[in-house]
Amino acid sequence: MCCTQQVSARRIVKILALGHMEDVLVADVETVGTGHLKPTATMPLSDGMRQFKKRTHFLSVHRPELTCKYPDQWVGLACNWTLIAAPTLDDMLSKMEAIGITREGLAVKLMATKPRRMIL
Amino acid sequence: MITGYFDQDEPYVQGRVIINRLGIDDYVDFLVDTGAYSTVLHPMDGSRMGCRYEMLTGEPESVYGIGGSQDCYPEAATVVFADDDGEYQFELIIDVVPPGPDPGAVVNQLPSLLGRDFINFRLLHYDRSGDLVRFY
Repeated sequence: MCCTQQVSARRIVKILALGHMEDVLVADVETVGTGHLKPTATMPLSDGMRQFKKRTHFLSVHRPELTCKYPDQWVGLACNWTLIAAPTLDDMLSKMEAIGITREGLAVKLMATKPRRMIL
Repeated sequence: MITGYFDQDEPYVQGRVIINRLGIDDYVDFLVDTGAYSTVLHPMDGSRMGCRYEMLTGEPESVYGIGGSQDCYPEAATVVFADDDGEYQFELIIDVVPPGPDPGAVVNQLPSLLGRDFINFRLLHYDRSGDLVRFY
């Protein structure tokens, strides 16, 4: 087993420990990777989550128009559906604060004219 | 069932991240990344959420990507995902990445990642042609 795998295995133990399975031993690590991570709580769907999903979808669906209008700018859609754009994320957040809009629930996307080619 | 969506061919799932110690409680658009061994909160979201980066002390861990390595700080977090009916709360260790010194640094522009610490424990339905990203 290489070092990277050992680090990953250690992490799995920590996650399970937080999931109230404190008795998991390091020796058991290799057998727990295919388990099922169970939720520690379930709740009714909140309006905040529902609205955040709507805002992120809006930015995604309207990306072509927004990219034309705000090329290579960060675009944020706030809780009150105010749309703010700026060349940098910090500028956009500053603009929001200047007009008194809260950051909470802000949906943000970069309207890149050349889509990012990420290999993460 | 937790449903995500595609944006420019990238699969995303929205969730709520709570890390009390860092003053974080807000929604995040996670890129689903089977290549990431852990879930990562990148500066794009951390800064927006007013993360108390000064609380990240001690020796950082290094995580490696194609472009090199970056420092991160593992933090116990509550992550909430939703389907049409309800919300499901999970306890994860999230790697919090502090912002790079230059606002234009690549690390400041990366989306937060939903990594294998979550993906490995759920059934992922990935169907680009059918426009479906779902966790069961």
